Amino acid sequence: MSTHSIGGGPFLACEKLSKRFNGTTAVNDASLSLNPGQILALVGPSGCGKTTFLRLIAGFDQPEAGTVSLGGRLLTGKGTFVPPEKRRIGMVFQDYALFPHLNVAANIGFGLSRGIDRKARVSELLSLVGLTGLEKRMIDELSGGQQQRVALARALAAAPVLLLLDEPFSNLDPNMRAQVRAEVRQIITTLGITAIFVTHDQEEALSLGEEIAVMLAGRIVQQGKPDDVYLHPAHRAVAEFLGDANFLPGRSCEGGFECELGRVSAAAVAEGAIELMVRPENLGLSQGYGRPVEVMACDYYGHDCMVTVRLASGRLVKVRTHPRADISPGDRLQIEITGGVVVFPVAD
Amino acid sequence: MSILAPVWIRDRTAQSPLVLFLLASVVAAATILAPAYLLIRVADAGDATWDVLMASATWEAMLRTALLSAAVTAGCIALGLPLAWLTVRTDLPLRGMWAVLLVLPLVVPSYVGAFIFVAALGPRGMLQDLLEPLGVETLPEIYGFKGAWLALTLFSYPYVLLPVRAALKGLDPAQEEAAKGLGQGAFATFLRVSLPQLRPALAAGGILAALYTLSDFGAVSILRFDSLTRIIYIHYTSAFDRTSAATLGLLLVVLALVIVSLEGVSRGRSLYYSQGQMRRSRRVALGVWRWPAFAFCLLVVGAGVGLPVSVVLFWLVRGVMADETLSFVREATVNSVYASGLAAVVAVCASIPVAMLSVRHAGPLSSLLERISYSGFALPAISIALALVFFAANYTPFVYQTLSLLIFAYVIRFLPQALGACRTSLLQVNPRVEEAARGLGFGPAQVFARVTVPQILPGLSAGAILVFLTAIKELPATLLLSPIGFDTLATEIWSASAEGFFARAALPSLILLAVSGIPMALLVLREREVR
Repeated sequence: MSTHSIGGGPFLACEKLSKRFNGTTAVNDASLSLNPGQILALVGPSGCGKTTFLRLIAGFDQPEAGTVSLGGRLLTGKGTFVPPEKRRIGMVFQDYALFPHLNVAANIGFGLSRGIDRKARVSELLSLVGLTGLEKRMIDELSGGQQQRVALARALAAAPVLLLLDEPFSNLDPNMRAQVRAEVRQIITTLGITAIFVTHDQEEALSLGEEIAVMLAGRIVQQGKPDDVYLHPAHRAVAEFLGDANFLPGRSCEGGFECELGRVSAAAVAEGAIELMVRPENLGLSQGYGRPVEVMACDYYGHDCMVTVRLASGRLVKVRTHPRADISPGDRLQIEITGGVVVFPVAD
Repeated sequence: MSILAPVWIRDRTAQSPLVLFLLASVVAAATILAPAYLLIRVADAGDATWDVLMASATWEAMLRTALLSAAVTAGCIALGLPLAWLTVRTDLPLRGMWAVLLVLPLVVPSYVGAFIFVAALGPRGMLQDLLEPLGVETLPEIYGFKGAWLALTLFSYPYVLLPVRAALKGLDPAQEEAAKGLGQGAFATFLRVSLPQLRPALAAGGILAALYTLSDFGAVSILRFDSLTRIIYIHYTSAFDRTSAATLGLLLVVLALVIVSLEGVSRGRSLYYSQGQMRRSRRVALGVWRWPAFAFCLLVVGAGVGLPVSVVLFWLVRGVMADETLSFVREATVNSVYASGLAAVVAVCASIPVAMLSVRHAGPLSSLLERISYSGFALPAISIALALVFFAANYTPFVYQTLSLLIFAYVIRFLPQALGACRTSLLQVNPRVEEAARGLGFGPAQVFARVTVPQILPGLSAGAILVFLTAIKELPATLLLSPIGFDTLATEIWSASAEGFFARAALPSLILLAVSGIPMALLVLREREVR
């Protein structure tokens, strides 16, 4: 099978996939595309249909509607259904799903045909994931992080053209997560494999994905580069889910928009009532400029500080500042917009 | 500490499980073949069936059978409930030992128990021999209702003891303490708080005991009580009157279904559960009642375990000293092991598609097939055997009088045990693990062989052993369906004791007792270790 897309189309193309379970819609008209060699983070809150979407790509579930094609080959849809064993898609399951009756080497070598190279390939993979020396261990004798690496090695052993990882780091304790995350990313990029990983952790998605797709209530609402999605969320819900956001009611006016924090100049995208989204890091607190506010709370995080202030209208707004010791609840300061804002039309 | 393995109930596999569905349908169809054909056979007979149904003897037999079932169930509860309480909740001396010994009467097949009763307590029996020098000329009558009731109660009360014991262990002692805190005495607490919560366990155990009595053939025959099974067998062997055997066989199935349907009613409507942290309950101090309680346990174990073992040993020694020939036992053992072993393997294989379908592809159709496959649990073996005899004689004469028909009957009857074991072990296999193998390039059949089977093998073996142990003791189907000249341990015991050759029945009985007793004792011991 070719690993290159045919006719300039995307390598992986999921179009208008829908899947229902007992009357509940898990995936609703969701589309996604991916170029070869890219790592995509599929992010969304728990229960939004991410795992089902992944299973539709892998062929573990069959959608009611929509198509999946990989490398120009139709896998699902239009009367076609290629069974999972014929898709060459590797999957790392959330609970790893390792074979409990086999040892590490047998787990990794499971998908390889017997022969002389099998042993060589297994030890190559073991060293790739840093588990050399543990080949004879049984699965229940491994730590969570080690199991995770066996699962990755097992999926990679079959030389998949697409790798799917379902919440791969959620079962690891927080101290290990960042390190394992970096290692896994290193391995995937070294091998140049196209990969999708599912996560509900927005930070993980933003930092690990070269491409990011946001899924909400069964739909993929936005796909793009991480910074693009963060800076230009297509919907209010995306802005709310990814990062912290303040929403302020406003209206369009000459040359821009007007809200409680003042005027913002922007090309008009909407008429009448609008809503402005401002990230906390795009707000500044000072004495002397802007609208008056009262400090309500100040949460210190070490590298920065999240200050909650109350506007004259009583509305609460979050402001991210560098760590400063001179702000405490009850202080009266001035606020101003210091960075970009996003304008959403208000539905009537 | 109990090891709670994760259970994977729901699954959503994309492929339509057509092969599984077909195999499971074949198994379910085979299971209902027997009762369905019995119904057709009886309906076909028309007037002859009416004659049987209108005869007062039929209804008297039904009534006698129902009465015996009810009496044995009551007896089992009267023995099982106090014994369960004594061994779980009190400071009974040697509690641990009694917990094991009190279960063992279950391994005594009813016909062995009955023959031991006759040998020990019957006219010219061992007890009379002992008492004669003292001037006792006659003993209370052992044959008939009383004897059958006593023997069946004594060897089936563990059906009630086991579930009640488990339920007692699961009761939250805080509830009893709360009742006592509200001013209720120990007895009132038991009646008003504990007993209502034991109701589901009592119902489940009582149903088992009632079904066991209903389908029992050996004890009622040897103790000459005319319950349905005995009458069916007499009608069947007297050969001319097969319609009445079939009709009575069907009525027996109807009675069994009535008993099974009673469970839903007797279980009650409330849901019982305990909340909060469970603590070990404090043991009730029996005080001066310790020794009467001890004597009670001793009496039950003596009658249910000690008596059978000593009588069998007595007749074995007597037989050996009288140069009784024992060579037939070898062939009977080989036949028994062969037939039961085959039945175990076939039952486990048949259970796999049904269990796979119900665990991995849950839905109304799979649960229907599963329910049908469980029906052997309620079908009296003699009814199954009758139906198969008629069916084979009419439609498949090539299997008539072959071992395959007997194996088929065993499989229908004991499939529920294999299904239970297979289902439990499948529930512990993570479906994601199977999918992982699919993703690595293996088709469903290869995944089943390489991933699923290795994980469920221990459960399958346990199921096979269970089927083997129950099939080896089976009597009525074996009598009706064994090919001519194919004698098993069970049929040898039956024919020897029917003719009063107790010495001849001794060694096969001892073998059966050992074969089923040892694994049962190990099971009980292991259950205690796990706790």
